[in-house]
Amino acid sequence: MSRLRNIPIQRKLRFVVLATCTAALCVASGALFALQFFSFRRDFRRDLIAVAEIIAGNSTAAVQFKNEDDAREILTVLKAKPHITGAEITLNDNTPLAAIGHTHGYRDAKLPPDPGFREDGFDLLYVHPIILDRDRIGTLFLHVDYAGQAFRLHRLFAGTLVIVLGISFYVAVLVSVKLERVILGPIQNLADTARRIASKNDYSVRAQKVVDDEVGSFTDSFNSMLDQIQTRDTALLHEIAERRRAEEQLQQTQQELIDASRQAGMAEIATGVLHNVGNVLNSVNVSAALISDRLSPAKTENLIRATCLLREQNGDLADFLTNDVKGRLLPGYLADLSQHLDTERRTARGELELLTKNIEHIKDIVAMQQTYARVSGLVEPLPVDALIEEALRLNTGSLDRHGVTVVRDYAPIPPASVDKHKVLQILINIIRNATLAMDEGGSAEKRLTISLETTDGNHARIRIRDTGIGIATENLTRIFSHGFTTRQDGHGFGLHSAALAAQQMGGRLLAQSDGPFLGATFILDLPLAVAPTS
Amino acid sequence: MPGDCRANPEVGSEYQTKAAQIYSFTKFVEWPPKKFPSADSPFIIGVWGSDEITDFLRESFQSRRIKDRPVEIRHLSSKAELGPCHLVFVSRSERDRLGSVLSEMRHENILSVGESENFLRSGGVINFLSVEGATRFQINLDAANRERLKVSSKLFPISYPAKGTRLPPVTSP
Repeated sequence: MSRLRNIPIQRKLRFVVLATCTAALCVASGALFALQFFSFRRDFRRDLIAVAEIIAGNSTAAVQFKNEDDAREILTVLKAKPHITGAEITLNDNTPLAAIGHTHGYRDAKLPPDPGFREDGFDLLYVHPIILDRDRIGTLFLHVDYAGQAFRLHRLFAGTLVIVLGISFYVAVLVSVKLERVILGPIQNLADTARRIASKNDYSVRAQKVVDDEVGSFTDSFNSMLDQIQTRDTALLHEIAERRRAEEQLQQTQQELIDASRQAGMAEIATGVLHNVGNVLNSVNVSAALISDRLSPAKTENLIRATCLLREQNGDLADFLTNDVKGRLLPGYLADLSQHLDTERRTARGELELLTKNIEHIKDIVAMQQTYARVSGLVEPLPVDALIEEALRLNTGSLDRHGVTVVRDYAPIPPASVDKHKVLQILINIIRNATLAMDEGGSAEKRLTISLETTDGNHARIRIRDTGIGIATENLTRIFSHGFTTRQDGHGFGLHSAALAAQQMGGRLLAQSDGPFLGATFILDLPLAVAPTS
Repeated sequence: MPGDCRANPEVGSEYQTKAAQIYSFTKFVEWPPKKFPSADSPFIIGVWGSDEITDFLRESFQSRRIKDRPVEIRHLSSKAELGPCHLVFVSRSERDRLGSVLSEMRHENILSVGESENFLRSGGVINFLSVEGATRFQINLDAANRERLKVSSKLFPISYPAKGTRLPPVTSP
């Protein structure tokens, strides 16, 4: 039965039909055969008894008159019965009256022998009394080839049975082939539809309802299921489209938000910048006004008057300087005047220096604003040493002017994944801060040591060590907060934005210092593009 | 023993056979019921003429019943005695006087059995004859019909043909 499970329904159906037919036929044939067997046995004996009765009845006169010829003649009739191989009529005293065919000389101890059937080897012996007027006058013996007869008949019957079975089987096959379409057609149709749907994902296909039986209702259910799937499919497609649209909208909104926040940020920075620029401009204004006041015109006019007085003497300058009252006072006056002018020049020069510094500061603030404008840059793997070099080059003028020695200690490390402008901004800030810190105090030797190494396997670490004024312990963290500065002209943006930029790139910025006048070290960690193989 | 009475042993054997056959005839012949006056009236066999057969008949019918009736064997001496008989054996000695005795028995429903060559011609029903030394018999069916005797067809194949050719044996249908 388990082997039957995997074969196609068509064969299963045919197998079932044929098996059923054959089983029914076999049972029917078996019953017929058994019936035939028993009825043959019964009929055979009945027939034999009937024949014996006729022969016995006919032979009464022959027996009564002991007429051998007549008795033999009566027995001769039995030759028409091929299964009767021999017959004999005996008188009551067992004297044979007449015999035909093969008689085996059956003799019973009892005389006359009891009537009935007797097995006689393969033969059957039938003993029938010959009775006249209730008196038994003789005995009829019939020898019958029962086994041979039965065998021939049963062989014939079995042959017929086999032929009938064969024909029935053939007819059953034909009928089954015709009829199985009635069942298989709709199922096949359904299966084809399902296969088409599965192969093409086309849920608009519908199975055709051909019959109104279980397969028909199954087809209906199948189709309604397809309806549902199609509906859901469509709804899903709509939902996906809707979601995509929402996503796009979200993205757009996000972009707008980013833009807005950037603009807002830029505006905030601009506010700060303008504020600082305004402050500095105030100093610039004060310096300019001071210079303007100091350069008073009175002294210059006195000098011009003295000069004109000297020109009026026309070659008699010595006399004027020695004899004239005014002339005698003039050299002392000129000496005072030049002294005064020198003082004035010196003051103006100091103010001008201050002015220049302030203007440079404004330049820095503006540059800072420009740096912020490029806040979202491209992150790319870049060699860190090259970035350091570029920052140094941008600061070359300042470093040279302040007489700073730069010491480089670069370990070979893989590139870092960074935004070039952000890194440059951070480095420029730190280098400039260091330069300024070394101006303010600390060691006499102005040395900037920059080292490069990897840390914890994933980051590049840049150390920038100066010999400057150092940082008080309490300020080590505060220096990174917005607006905090230790310098009079500082604006508190540089380190704050630098630390922020480092964080944005997945790195960090730290400050170390042993205390005031002991120098400071800034540490910038940047993520490596690819972790080095250990 | 009846044999003691017999003058000729051959003749004795012949009558023994004939007596036996006469007994057999009664089994294959039916008499009309009216021939029996009552339910227990006997079956009467008469012997006309020489009574050589009488002893054999007595021997043959001893303690036997015919048609479930007791048997009486009479040696007849007058024609008046013929009437009540059911079967009458007419001996060879009466060969020349058959006409008167047979005419006396006519329409009396008597089975007449003879042993003369002219017996059937004279109106007898069954006649014995010797064929190749064996005792056979012939049946006059017309006479039997006339006497309203029903002779079983089984007797026909046994009987010797009365009209030259032998009838085919009666077989089963």
